[in-house]
Amino acid sequence: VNTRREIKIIITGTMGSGKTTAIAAVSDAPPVSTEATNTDLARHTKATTTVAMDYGEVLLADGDRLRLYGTPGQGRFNFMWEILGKGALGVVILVDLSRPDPVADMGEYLTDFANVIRAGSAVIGAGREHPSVTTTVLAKAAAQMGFAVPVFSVDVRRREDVLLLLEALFSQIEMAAVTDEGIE
Amino acid sequence: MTTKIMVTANALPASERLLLSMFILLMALESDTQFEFVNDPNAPIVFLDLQLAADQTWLANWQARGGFTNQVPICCGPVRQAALITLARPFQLAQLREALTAGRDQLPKARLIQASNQPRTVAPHRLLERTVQLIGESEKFLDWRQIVGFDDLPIVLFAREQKAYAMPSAKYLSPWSRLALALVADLRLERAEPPPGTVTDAVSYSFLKWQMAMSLSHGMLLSDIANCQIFSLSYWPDISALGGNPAHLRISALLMRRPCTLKQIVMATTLTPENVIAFINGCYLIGCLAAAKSAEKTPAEVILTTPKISSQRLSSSTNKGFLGMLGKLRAALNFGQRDISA
Repeated sequence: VNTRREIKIIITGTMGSGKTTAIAAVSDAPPVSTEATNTDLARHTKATTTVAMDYGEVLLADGDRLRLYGTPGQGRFNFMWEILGKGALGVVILVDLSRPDPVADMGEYLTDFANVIRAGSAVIGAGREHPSVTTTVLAKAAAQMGFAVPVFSVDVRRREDVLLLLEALFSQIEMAAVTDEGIE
Repeated sequence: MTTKIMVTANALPASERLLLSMFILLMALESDTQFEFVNDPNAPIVFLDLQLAADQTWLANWQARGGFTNQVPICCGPVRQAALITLARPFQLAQLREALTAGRDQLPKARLIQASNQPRTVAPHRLLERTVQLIGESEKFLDWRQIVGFDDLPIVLFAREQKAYAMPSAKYLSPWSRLALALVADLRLERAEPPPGTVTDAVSYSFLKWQMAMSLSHGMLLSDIANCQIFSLSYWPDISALGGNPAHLRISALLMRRPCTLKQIVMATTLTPENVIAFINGCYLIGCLAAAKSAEKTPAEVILTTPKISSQRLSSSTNKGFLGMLGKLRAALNFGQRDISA
């Protein structure tokens, strides 16, 4: 009998928001990436971008593992989002505040992953800076959309910040179990 | 018996009115006479700046009536006038106390208001409330830009930007609790610019308030919420921006799901009551504490006995379900190193 348990977490966000970097910050081994040459230089100038998914994991001594899946950032690959979202207990949405409309970016991912969020947990990680959009603005916008999710300022190059996002998900999962309203 | 006297200073600059109001707030903690800073030209005690035309006119009118106007002026230096109470610049708390006491003694008894016959004591957690009150006062004065200096820890408050800056020398000195204590114990404000290049760390007022709540709550709820039994959040506090502890995420997650009593929060999160109370105070100060119902409106006993949160349930879940795995993951990822110990 296989008694090993898994927790699946999705890391999503726009192209260049740091999904691959976030997975690499906590994964036991270098993440498996499906990078291809970025042909959408109008949206972001980075040389390569994820076209299917990134994958990283944290393996525990007893065989239990945390699986981290990064989605492609480009909208034309969004058919992957539903596939990757199946069975996920939480979603990390990375919002790039240097983009023109980060609130709309966040809203798109909240909507697309609504099923996962409502059944599990979610956290918003806001990176870089915007002249007027703060974490509070994002939190209120998310709440108006019906998602009372935490929003944190993060730099996903820092492992500590990525851990904060994961801990926010774990806390939601834990408190859902403790209050007997959700995950057992 | 406590008496109350209104004080005003309509012509003084905003920064000096702020400083005087702060000093007067501090004096209220220790004196039998309560002074209250108001914007009322008819207040019994009036601070004047005799370099200002408006105040020169006020004093001339007052002297023309032989001083019989039921008002006592206090002249702020450097201009001195014989037979008038003077307060030298820069303002000092001790001198202000003397000037106000002298002003009180010159007032007719009819101008003194009986405020309260309650004994005046200062509980430790009042330091937090008073400090937050002081910061709140500073927020009203948008042109206020001063150094709050004490010991080796200069702090600059820029109210226009709603930020506080710490000098580099103060970086590793756990500044916020010391700032709070210094503000309350011996406030000194000086008109000065920080040396160029010395101001480096900027934090928001929310950060300042949060850190003060963490440092100064001493296991006691703020008086505004002291009678509340049930707590919940209107939105998640940004723990990262507040310099908060990841352990507080568990409280946030719980209170975003459902309202809880302090006892339930402690039970569900396994944090100490002191940490939970500091968190609640912090949330109140930054404005994300949504519902804090008073005891008389809430069936607290019923909620306390509900089986939805119990140590037994937590224990069994920890052993069997995802909670056990989460604990192992936290250990593997070194979450525990940054947590507040239970």
